[in-house]
Order: sequence, then C-alpha cells, then structure tokens
Amino acid sequence: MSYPTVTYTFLTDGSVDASRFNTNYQDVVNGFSDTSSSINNNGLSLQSLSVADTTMAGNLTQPELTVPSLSLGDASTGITLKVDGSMVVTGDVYATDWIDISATCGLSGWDDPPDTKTVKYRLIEGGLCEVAWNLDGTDSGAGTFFWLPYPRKTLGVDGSYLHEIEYYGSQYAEDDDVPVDAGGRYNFETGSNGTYLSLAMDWQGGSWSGGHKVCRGTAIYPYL
Amino acid sequence: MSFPSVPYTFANGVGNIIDATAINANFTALVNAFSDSASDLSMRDGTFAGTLSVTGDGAISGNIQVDGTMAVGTSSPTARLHVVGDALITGDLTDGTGWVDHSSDSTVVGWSTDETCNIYTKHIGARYYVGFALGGTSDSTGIEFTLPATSIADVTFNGPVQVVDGASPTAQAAPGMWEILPSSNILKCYKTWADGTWADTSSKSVWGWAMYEGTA
Repeated sequence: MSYPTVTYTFLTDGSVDASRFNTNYQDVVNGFSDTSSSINNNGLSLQSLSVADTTMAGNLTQPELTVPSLSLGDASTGITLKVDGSMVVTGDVYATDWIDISATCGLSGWDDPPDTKTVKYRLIEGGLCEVAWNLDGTDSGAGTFFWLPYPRKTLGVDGSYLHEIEYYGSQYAEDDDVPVDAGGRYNFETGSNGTYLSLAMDWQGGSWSGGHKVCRGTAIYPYL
Repeated sequence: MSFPSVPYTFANGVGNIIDATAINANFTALVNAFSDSASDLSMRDGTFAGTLSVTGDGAISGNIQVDGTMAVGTSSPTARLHVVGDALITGDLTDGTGWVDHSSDSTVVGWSTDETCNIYTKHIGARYYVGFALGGTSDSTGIEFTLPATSIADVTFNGPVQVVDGASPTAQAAPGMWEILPSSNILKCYKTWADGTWADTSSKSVWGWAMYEGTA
C-alpha cells in the first residue's frame, strides 16, 4: 500500500516557506487523484466509485453494480463470474429472454400457411436453449420440422450410432385430428441450415397420416 | 469527476504572512472531501476494514474479489451471491468443468461385455443434465447406471427414452421411461411407462436426455 504523504515537515514556531506549504497541500490533493496512492479507512461513502481492483474481506451490498469480472470467494480470475458457494436469484436467470421467431423460422410439413405457427426460444443458464412450439394445420406430406436459431452441441461422436447423445423428448401430437396416445417425439437433426427440430407422430418416426395434424411441446438442448 | 481542491493558493516568498483563516479554510476543504459525498476519489488500491457503501452506481474496470457475500438488490444476503431480481448471464454457467464424459465412471447394468456406453453429464448448481446412449447384447431384465450425484429426497424424476428392443434396430412406437428414485444415484430405464422389463437375451438399446435435482 502506498498512502499519500507530504514532502515537507515544518518546525514548530519556525517560519514556513509558502512554496513548501503549497507543495504539501498539493501532495494531499494528489493523493485523491494520482491513481497510485491508497487509502485505509474504516468506512467510506461515495457518490460514485471507480477502481482498478478491489479486495474486500467483508460484504459488498450495492443496489446496482456493473463489473466486467467478478470473483466471489476465490481470487482466481479468467472467467466472468465465479461463486465459491451458493447463489440465490429470486428472479429469472437467462442470457436472452423469450424471442418470438414464428414469423421467421423455416417450417416444413404443413401446407403454407399453417393454421397456427408459434415458435419461441430463449437462452437460459448453462449454455442451454429452451424452445417452445405450437403448430397445426394441414399435412403437406413433406418432412415435419422447423429450423432452430442455434445449432445443437454435439456430445459423443456426431452421427455415430450409440456414440452420439440424442436429445429425444416427447411432444403432444395429433395425427389426422386424432391425439396420439403415447405422444409424439422430437429430436434434433443437423441439416444444411444448421439444426432443425424433427417432429414425429410416434417414437418410431412413423409417417403422418395426412389431414390435420398438431405438434406442441417444449425442449431444452445445449447449443453452440 | 470532481476531485477535492483547496480554495486558497498562497504567494511564494520567504517572509510572506499567511492568513490563518485561509489556512484553516484549506484544511477544512481537505477534511470535508472525505465526508461531503460530493467529491470523487480515484485510487489504485482500497482496503476497508468496515463497510463500503456506494449510494450511486459502481463501475469497476478491473476485477473485484469479495471474500464475504455479495448482495444485489438486498441488504440481507443468504448466500454467497444473492440477487433479488433477474440475473442476465450471456455466457455459460457451470461448476467449472462443463460437460463431462461420465461413461467410464458409471457402473452400467444390462448388457454383456460388448456393450456400448456413452454417458455425458453437466451440472449447474444442483441441477444435473444427463445424456446417454447405451446398447449391446442384453444379459439382464433391467437397465441402470450410476449417476455423478444422488438425487434429492421425496422426488422421483421421470422422462421418455428412445427404445430399440431386439435384434432389429427398429425403435418402439411408444417411448420407454427413465426414472431416478428419491435419494438415489441410479438411473433406470424401462421398456414402457408401465415399468416394462427387458428380455435378458438379444440386443437392446436406449437413448435418453434426463434432468434431475442432485444433493451436491
């Protein structure tokens, strides 16, 4: 630590050179603004605070604080936020709140336009994308899928049977206006435009019967 | 930025008489700079044995380390980091390891030695994500494998699983079920949601994507 000091010490009852007196004042003033001096204080209240690095043994309570890098309980840096302990967030945690891509995402499997086309997504904690869909209309006979805003992350060996993790899940499905008892299936596939969500009427990938069909569901997948 | 300043600058020259009132005013200006909440302060290092309270906004261009707790939007934190309101994180949120290939660490039951086993896990706090693809020649009426953490008590976790049962690599039209019982570190797979068991011969395969709440 380097605290502000004054250049001159004046003798008691002696004369004081005014220039030296001014120098001492300037030393004190510079201590506030030269970015090389430190301060050791029991308490400090500031209208605004700008520091290069801060270490606190106690607690930091602040209604609004913006920092590019924050380490809690661990001095190591290199990641944006590190919490050595638990974290409580009373609100939501996300990277991107819900975005409606109904009007822009590519859709296959229904006559155009479908009766209903709702597709939304958001990016949540942990590099995960949550997607929700509600699609119905007349079967076009083409493959049933829609394109996703972010490609999936590959776990295992891409395209290798039993060596690639598949993000299978269930969806609500109506085939020719008949609800499928066991539910339909969704899965993530890779195509020319990235990753698409393939929507099957059953878990065997069976063909849709034609007529009016419905797909509704939500899925979470790790994205790139 | 408004840094502290003194109201008087005294003339140079030996023998000049300086007005004591002016000296006092300069000293008062310096003292007030510590407490008037109107002056700014730019410093290299700061050590506070007491409390640091910032009533305006805090912008820190470097790194910040807090050995205690950090509270955002509350003065009574109950965790290392306590945020009242939403948290926006544009990057990843992990335990520091990200996705882990758990295949060789897991004890797998259901297949003879020719099994293919791929299990990947990741946890964010206490929430665990598990992706798995398992197959081979069956030697058991069940399928199960161990997880990296025990699940919480009183809650059973279930979800659908893709099933190929038998020599023909054709998936079942209806999904099977994965299940993690309360306080268990074992994920089991059933042929159906009615707890269907498997033949202990021929081949069988499952693909699944599970989430559960762990205790660690």
